[in-house]
Amino acid sequence: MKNRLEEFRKLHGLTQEELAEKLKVSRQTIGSLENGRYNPSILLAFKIANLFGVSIEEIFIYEGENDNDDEK
Amino acid sequence: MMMKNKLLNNCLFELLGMTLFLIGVILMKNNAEKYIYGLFIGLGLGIFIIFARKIEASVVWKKYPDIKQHLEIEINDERNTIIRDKAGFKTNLIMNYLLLVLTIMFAFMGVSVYVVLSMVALIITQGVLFIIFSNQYEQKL
Repeated sequence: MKNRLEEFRKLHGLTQEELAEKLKVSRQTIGSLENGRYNPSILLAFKIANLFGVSIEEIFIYEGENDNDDEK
Repeated sequence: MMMKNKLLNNCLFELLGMTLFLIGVILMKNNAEKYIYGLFIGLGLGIFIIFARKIEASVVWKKYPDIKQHLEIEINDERNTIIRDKAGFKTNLIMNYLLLVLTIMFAFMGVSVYVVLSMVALIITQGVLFIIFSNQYEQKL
């Protein structure tokens, strides 16, 4: 799954630390999200979308089945 | 108020741990049955260490609330939770095999039957706990 988190974060003039603080997650989680290494839970995705005042689809782009992950 | 109760509770358990440990040491000096003092010392030290950490954490957190908040974020962070779960699962899987292999090895090496039976009991406990927690999560999720 691709995302535009970094783009939105920079648009709002936030650092990774500041965004992490607002979302109550670790800075590493923000880094992993931006790198596309980690896909957020639906709850975190909603929180991010709410924070930036956009819909989830505007930030996270679903690209098909073998999106996820490094799960194994 | 609740915080004070928690601290008092932790201190009581700390005392209990220390008492158990001391009983174990006294029993050892009196040459009582070995397994009894071993049990008391092990249990006492275990309780003592767990609650000492809890007391330490509550004292530190009271002094430095920002550290507490940071720690809570780190613990509850969803990525960290997934990492912990995955690492725990794999560790558990490997430990299962190791425990099984070690138990069989001990059985053939002629190690005391009590040791082998204790290890078998551990393996069975692990299986039972897995079933209990699986059922619990089946209903919860």
